[in-house]
Amino acid sequence: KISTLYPDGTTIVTGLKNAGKEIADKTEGRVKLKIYPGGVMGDDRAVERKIRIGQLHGMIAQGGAFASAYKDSQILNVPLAFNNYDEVDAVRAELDPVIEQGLEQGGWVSFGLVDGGFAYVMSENPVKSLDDLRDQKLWLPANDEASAKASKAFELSPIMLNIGAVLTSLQTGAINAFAAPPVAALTLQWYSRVNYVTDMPLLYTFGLLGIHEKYFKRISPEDQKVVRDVLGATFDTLDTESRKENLSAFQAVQQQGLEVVQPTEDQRAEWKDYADRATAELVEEGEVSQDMLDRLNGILAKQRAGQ
Amino acid sequence: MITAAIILLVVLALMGAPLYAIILGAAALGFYTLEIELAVLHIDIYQLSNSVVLMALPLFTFAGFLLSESKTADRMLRLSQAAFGWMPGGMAFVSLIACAFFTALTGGSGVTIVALGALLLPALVKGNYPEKFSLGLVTSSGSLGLLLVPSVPLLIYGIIAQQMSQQLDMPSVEIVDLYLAGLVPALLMIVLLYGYCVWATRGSAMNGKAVPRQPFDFRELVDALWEARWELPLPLVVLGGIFSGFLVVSEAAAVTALYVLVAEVFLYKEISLRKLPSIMRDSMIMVGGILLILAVALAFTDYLVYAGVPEQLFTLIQTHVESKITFLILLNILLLLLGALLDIFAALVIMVPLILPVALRYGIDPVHLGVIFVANMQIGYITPPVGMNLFIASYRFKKKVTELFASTIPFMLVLIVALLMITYIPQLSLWLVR
Amino acid sequence: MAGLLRGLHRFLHQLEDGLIVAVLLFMILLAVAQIILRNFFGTSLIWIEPLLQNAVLWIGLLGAMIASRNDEHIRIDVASALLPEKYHPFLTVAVDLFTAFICVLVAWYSVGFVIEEYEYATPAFGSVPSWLLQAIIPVGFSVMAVRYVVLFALGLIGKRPKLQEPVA
Ligand code: NA
Ligand code: NA
Repeated sequence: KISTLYPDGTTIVTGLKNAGKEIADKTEGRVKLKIYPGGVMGDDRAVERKIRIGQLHGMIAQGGAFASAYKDSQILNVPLAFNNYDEVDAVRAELDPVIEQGLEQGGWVSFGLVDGGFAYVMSENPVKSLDDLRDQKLWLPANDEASAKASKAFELSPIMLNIGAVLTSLQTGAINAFAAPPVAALTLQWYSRVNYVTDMPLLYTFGLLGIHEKYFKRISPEDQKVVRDVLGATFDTLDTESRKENLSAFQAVQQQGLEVVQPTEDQRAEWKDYADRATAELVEEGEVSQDMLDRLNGILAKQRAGQ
Repeated sequence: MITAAIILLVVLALMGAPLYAIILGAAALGFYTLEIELAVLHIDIYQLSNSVVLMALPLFTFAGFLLSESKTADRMLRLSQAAFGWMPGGMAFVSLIACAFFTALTGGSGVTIVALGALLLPALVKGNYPEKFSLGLVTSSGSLGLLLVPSVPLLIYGIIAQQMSQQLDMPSVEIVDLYLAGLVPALLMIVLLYGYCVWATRGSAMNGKAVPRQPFDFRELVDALWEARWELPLPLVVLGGIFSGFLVVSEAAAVTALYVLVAEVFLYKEISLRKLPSIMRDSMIMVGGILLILAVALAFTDYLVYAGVPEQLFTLIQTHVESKITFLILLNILLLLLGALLDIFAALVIMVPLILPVALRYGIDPVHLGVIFVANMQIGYITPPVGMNLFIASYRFKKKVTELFASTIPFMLVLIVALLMITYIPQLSLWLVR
Repeated sequence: MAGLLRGLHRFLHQLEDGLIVAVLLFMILLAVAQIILRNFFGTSLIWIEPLLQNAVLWIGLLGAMIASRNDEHIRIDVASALLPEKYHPFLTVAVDLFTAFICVLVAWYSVGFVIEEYEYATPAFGSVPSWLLQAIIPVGFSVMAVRYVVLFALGLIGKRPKLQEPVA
């Protein structure tokens, strides 16, 4: 029994349902997946509690939701770490298995990461520099420690609202800027209330399916292998498809009339400067290990030198 | 075994067990049969702290209690009399308007009849209106503002719909949209009732002893306006704040609460600081009762969704009900029956999670559904056996419930006509919204 | 002993009343402060929103606890409206026992979960621990359970307050 915030009918939910059928076939009905899409079972924290008591067994969520089991799973979410998807792919080729292993040691069996796309700043007024952003009424999700910390490091004074209040608040001008992957901005209609998108990949996002180990262990080793094989293949496909969706969503928001803003080199350097400080703070607070950060930087340096 | 337990729960409910205990019992039973640890009840109840709008409920209710504890009703009556008393059937119109506004502001908790009824009834009788007519008018007007901003039942519908919106493929249900949608239907009810009042009290119907019309007195209007000067800006704060987007609903509620507190305690000085804590406490007892029901309804809804009941229910209904119109007719009958049996808040939290998903599949707009729901429940206030307005009026005017019910029948029929129009002409609700 | 119990009883009532009034006042002031911050200073404080949302939970349970003193909860009051008053004690005794049982049930599982939450030590926001905010649920249902047991006992000796609607 698996909960997810992704609505019914989305690529991920449909893919997972098909995988469920395949698993049921191959295990002769011994293992079935039941999906509760669209957040019916509550937000991430409620779902985590329900997994604890056994009402649910797993969840598909943003990587951050599993950070308490394995802190270094947040390594891909380091601000402004990547310049493009090639760099993401190079890093993920090496670190995906590490993250999956770390999560498994923390109690979550997972089956591969799904691309969530880069989050970009989208705003009513053009945002090139950090000062531009500081002048906006920037939305941040309420109850989200990670983004609250990041905004502090960037010296922003954001407006905290629940996700459900964002569209209305954009309409009424209570907020006029947000950072989100283009897919989210499209599906939640947020794009219709802003004019500009800043061409700078602020943050890489990803999702994953975690099934809690105590429930996964209950099925026989043979069936476990079937589940791993089927879901592993499913999530490979989903990852590729989601990447395509994310790329086309970035085109789509532009076609919808959002103007792309290009920060100057100096401005980019300033952003990067603050991002590095934010990252240093993450390391200092033990959110991400220095080891892991070095590994990330090592892969990136190699990739950038190779080009 | 399970069947026996369900029957036991129904019997206990009819015996008068608190509704929260019944709903919890049902949820616990459901989860127990699915072998889910009952700590799930705790997790679901804790979801009460997960709504951005819910804060508006205690705040609006508190403001409503403050208004009903001070002399707001007198001022509102004087003002509407000065403004509308000159019209044909003027006093009846005054009753409708004053009741509608007062109910909207106090959240439909039944205080309208207590606060305004005692002033309106003698005024109507003195104005030459027949007693039976006056009783019926006051009793049925006591729930008239339920569709007007900032009505609490509409708010509760919105909160439940928002909680469900993620799981269903539906347009978003904004509280603001619900308030906009309720506007025209509420006016329709007032206009139809007023039309009936004028018709019922025409000269020929009353043996030539028509109700005398009051002359318009500009001086009195100015005086009445001046007397209400601190409360007059209130609708502006609420309406302006919400519809301009300057405030979200929960914030409008906070501003309202603070504003009313300052107005009644420091400007009108009708509520002493010493009395304030007990008013706060009393209002929060009522809020506590509603919130508890909401919380346990979350647990029950969780069970329903987890067990896949909405899908089964839809399949069942779909095999018997083909068209949207048939569905709407059945819905009206069901809701009128429920409104007669259940308290409005209880009816909302129990029925919305079941009906909303089904109604969506028949292509009914969730905002329209909210208006239909509350309009039905409004009539439920004056239908026996559990018509709260009948009880309160009976207590207040020292009349038998049966006598009161008989006097409200014509008004109820008018309201049913309005209800049918609201149900079958969605544009009445939706043209300001979509 | 009886004096001590009465004192405890009074203290509990005052504590509940005081807390619910404080939470409501606090709620109004914090919400208004947030509006001022947002509209005039273009910023907001991160902890206000979650605190306000949890205040709703606390008001709900405190209000429900107070309403249980004399059983002023919403109900479908059919039987007592139809049956003559002399049969009402039979209704209330059965109903009180059932309600007490349900409250004990919720309180029991709730206590277990909150203890677990305490061991996990997850913060709700900032450094406010989640278990502390949730603790009102087991506390509330325990107090309500005790009250319904008392109502049940009073019903047996014919001293229970009558069934009543919560409002007006
Ligand atoms: Na929702
Ligand atoms: Na009723």
